[in-house]
Amino acid sequence: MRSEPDVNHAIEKYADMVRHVCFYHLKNHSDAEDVFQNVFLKYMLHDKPFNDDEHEKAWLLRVTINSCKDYLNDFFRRNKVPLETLNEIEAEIPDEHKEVLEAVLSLPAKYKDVIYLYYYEGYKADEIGKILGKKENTVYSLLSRGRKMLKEKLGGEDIDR
Amino acid sequence: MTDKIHNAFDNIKADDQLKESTKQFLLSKRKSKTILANYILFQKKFAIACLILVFVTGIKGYLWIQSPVSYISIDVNPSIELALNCFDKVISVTAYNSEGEEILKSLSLKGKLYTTAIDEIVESQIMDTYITDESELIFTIAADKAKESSISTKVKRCCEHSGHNSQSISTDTSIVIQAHNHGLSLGKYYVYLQLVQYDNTVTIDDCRNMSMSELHDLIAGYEHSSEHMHSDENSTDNGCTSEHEHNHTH
Repeated sequence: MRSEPDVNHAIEKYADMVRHVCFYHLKNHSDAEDVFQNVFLKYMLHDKPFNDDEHEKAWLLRVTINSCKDYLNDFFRRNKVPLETLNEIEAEIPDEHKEVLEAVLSLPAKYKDVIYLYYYEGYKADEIGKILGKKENTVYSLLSRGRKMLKEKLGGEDIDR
Repeated sequence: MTDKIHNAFDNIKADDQLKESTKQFLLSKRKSKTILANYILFQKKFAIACLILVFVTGIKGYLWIQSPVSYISIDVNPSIELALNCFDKVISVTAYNSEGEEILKSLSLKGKLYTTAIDEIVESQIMDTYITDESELIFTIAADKAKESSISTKVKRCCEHSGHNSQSISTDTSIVIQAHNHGLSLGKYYVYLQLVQYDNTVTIDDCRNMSMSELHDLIAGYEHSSEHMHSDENSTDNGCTSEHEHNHTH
């Protein structure tokens, strides 16, 4: 079990990243909080050392994405009426960003991950493949389709990096 | 556009309340994990202690069952000694001369009740060649007070049942070690102690090579001459630890 200072340091360092993944996958703040806490619980119980910060970050991303998927696959949660995640924090987000976030949230789950990891976290296709357990070519395909969908939703605006 | 996605996500933050509630959640989990770990550790220690207890009890029990508490020596010329545990079962059989070894070759007596063992020895074909009208079948019993009476009674029954010229003698367990140290069966050593009262030139080796009837004849001879010499002294303290004797001559 990792020490309390180690875990608190990780919370401060990766909280926003974990929150982002929870935000675009889950349907409300309460679910996001559950997964958020469970991700750091897994981190606390994970005894194996990480090679470096990048390894630690990739591990947390993978665990967060898988935790979100597991959470959504739960039978009772799957049948719950989805709440508008964005509505819960609408007041906090300036209007100029709301449209982009709505477009990302409307994508199917498999596209959201690659779009977020590619455009926000700045990972390359092969690195995304390792995190998501997918082939590099599959990541390229998902990126291409996701990009096309976003472009349509955002009125034809090109989003190439 | 890339900047737009970046800037849009920058608005989504893990607030301090979420971080704090997560820290509290992990702290409570850490405590319960520690309690659980301590409980599991306690259970493991308890299980190991129980195993050790069972192991030690088992070993002690086995040693207790395998500890001799009574001895029955069967002497004609063949000298055989049975060591019995607290359940009156034979835990070891020792032959003190070649004749005894010959008898034991064909018998398996360990684990049997002493009455069964005695019957098997007395009724064995080889023993039959040694038990004649002139020979004497002597049972010498060494047991603690609690056991002595019942063993003595049952051995007497065996004597009667065998129909041979037999005799049972009870003594205490203190001479057993002395007998073994001298390489003699309990019965022969008991007779040697009697004999040495009359003739201190008699050695243990002399006794080892003589049959019980020969030894008893010698004692009888000494007793007879002693009666003549000291007609007023008709009781002799033989100095050994004999408590009582029972004669069953048929």
